[in-house]
Amino acid sequence: MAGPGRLGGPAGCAARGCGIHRIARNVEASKVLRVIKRVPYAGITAAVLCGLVACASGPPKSDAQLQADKVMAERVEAALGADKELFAKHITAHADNGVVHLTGYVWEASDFQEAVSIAESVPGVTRVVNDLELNRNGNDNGPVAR
Amino acid sequence: MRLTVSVNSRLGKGELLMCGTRVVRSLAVSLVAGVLCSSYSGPTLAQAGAAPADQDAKMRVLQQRIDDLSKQLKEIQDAEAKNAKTVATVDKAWNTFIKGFFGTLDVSIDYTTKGMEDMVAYHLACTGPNGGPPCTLDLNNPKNGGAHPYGRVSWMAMMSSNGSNVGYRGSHQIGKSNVDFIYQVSASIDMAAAPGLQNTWTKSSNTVQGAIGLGDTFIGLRSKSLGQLKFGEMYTPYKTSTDRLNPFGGMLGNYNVVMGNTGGDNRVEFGTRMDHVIVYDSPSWAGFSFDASYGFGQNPDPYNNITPLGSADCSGSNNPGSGNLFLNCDDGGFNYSYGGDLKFETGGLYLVAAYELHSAVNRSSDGIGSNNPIYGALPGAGPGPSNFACDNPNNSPLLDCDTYNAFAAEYPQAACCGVTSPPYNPAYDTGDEWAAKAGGQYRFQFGLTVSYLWEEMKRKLQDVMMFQNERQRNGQWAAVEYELSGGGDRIALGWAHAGASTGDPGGQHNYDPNGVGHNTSNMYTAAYWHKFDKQLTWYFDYAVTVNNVNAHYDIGAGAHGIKTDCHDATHTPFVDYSSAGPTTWGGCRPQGFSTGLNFKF
Repeated sequence: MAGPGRLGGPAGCAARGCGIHRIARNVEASKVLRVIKRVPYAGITAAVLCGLVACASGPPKSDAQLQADKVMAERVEAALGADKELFAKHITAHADNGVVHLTGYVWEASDFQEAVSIAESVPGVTRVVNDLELNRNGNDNGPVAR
Repeated sequence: MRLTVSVNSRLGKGELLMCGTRVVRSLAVSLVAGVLCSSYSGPTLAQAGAAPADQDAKMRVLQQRIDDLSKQLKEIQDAEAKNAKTVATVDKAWNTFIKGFFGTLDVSIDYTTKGMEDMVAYHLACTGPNGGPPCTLDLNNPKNGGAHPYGRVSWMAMMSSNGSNVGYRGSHQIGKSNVDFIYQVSASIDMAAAPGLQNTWTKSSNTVQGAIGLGDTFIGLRSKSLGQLKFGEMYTPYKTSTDRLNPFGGMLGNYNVVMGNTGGDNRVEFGTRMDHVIVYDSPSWAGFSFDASYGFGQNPDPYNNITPLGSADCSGSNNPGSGNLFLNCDDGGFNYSYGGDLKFETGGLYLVAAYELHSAVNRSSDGIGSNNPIYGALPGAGPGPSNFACDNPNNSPLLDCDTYNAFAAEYPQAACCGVTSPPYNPAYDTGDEWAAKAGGQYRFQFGLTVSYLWEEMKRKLQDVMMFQNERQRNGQWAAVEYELSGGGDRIALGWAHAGASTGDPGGQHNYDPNGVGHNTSNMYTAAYWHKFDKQLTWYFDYAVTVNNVNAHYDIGAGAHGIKTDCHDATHTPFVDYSSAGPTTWGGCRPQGFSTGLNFKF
């Protein structure tokens, strides 16, 4: 159907400056454009995720250092668990050359400072990074009536 | 020797593994016994004049058997060590699995009152053009014959499940990287009533209470150095960043009665759990950290008047039809959202600032009295020229047409003729809402913690609709908390203040035109906690909300299960879109006591 003489093939299109091929090209171009427009989003997302994994992979540690970090983390978690007031079941400690990183849930505002203080008191701990979260789950919204 | 052989013949390798240390000890004893027997038999044979060659042969045999026993002993010890390692590995995996479960169980007995049993509503007397403002209360013309709020609105005892939930969380290391895949599923559970939908004659919610997912539920990636990125349904940084400033979480009089609560009702607009949201939590750098969120709108309706794709209810946990209105999302449905926070913490000091925006929030159901321009102008079956509902009150006898007619005269554009619903005119009540807050907390070494938070909430609307903008105001929160008995007990006091909003909170049966702008509120809370141990706590709590004449803040918004609010028990046996569900009484003074047990695991 798309004969060049009737609907504007390459020759006709060249003559009239328009036609189905040009439309087709435009359609294709718009598709390509849409794809191109999407590429940055997908690319950025992929780059962020890959970068997150890649950049977060530091230089390998020796077995001795890994073992020392493991022992340190266990000592910190044991100290947290031994405290009489702090519910530390959901606190996880990671150690890295004396730097202890705390993550997980606590239930009271005072627990943030308590957990850090306890971790700092463990021999060998040089610094404590606090990334704990307050557990306030459940459902906060009630029925609405006007 | 016979003893040793006997033991070996009776116990196979598998059995020996089972017996463990006990068998090893037995073999050791056997070995020693064998050696002693051999030592003893030597001299006897010598005394009998046996040849040295025989003795050497016997010694070799004996030595061979000792070697065999030593070899067996070594094998047993190795097997036992391997077994112990396996057991330790299994124990560790089991402990890790069990550790993933978390939750809170909280049930209280409440004794509360709505504080409005003596109120009476009056018709308006307007002297302006076309029956519009200025208006005043017509004290000689009480509504409904001077009836007080309907139902049991005074002191009542109740049982409430408060923020109870159960969940599971864990992580999975990605290869040998320092990045973990993280996940969490959570369910809000009701400890005091059967779970189900919240469908009543005044609304139609499809969210299943108690199902997995009604709680922070997500997957994501976490790195110690880069933070964590989460995808799912969860609270946003705007809420979580200041939760710690609120010691009364889940209790009567917690700060969400005022903070983040734009409408002064039971819902916390800027503290809601978001569907389909991405949240990034940065790690802490020298005490600084930040978080950010983006919520996908996923709403194909340009005015966000329908539920978002993939969601059971309207955005922001708005229930379709809330308040006996249309089964749509015109009480807070919005499109995308974004926000974040900036935090600093060192020692006992915590400073925070946060921001969140909800785009194109549909508030078409807001309005003075029981009828906003859209609902009040619904075409009725009456004989009037416009055929509006208020031209024929008999069509909907519960419509508050006095109020509607008054502001329709003052704001003719907003209440203009021919407006129907839906579809909605974008010139009306759809606009962005945002909130910002800043505050801090300091914990002294002697156990005193002080907190303060300031908040500003805005709603961007065209001028024609500003008269009913009840979403724009400021708020403040202050709390002091003191630890007794070395932290085993605590006591806390709290105060919240809601500033005046541009428009008066809608839906009030007793709207007072003399009190325009008098919609501020103050809430006072006191609580005591006693820890039985790390996990189990008993508490006692008191709260009161003192509302100005046109405000209707409650004492239950937030995670407290039962909301003691300013609504009476009015109900209609039919849906007439008149907002004639539980009637709201401005100026109420809800207060109550609550005592309960809280267990976390």
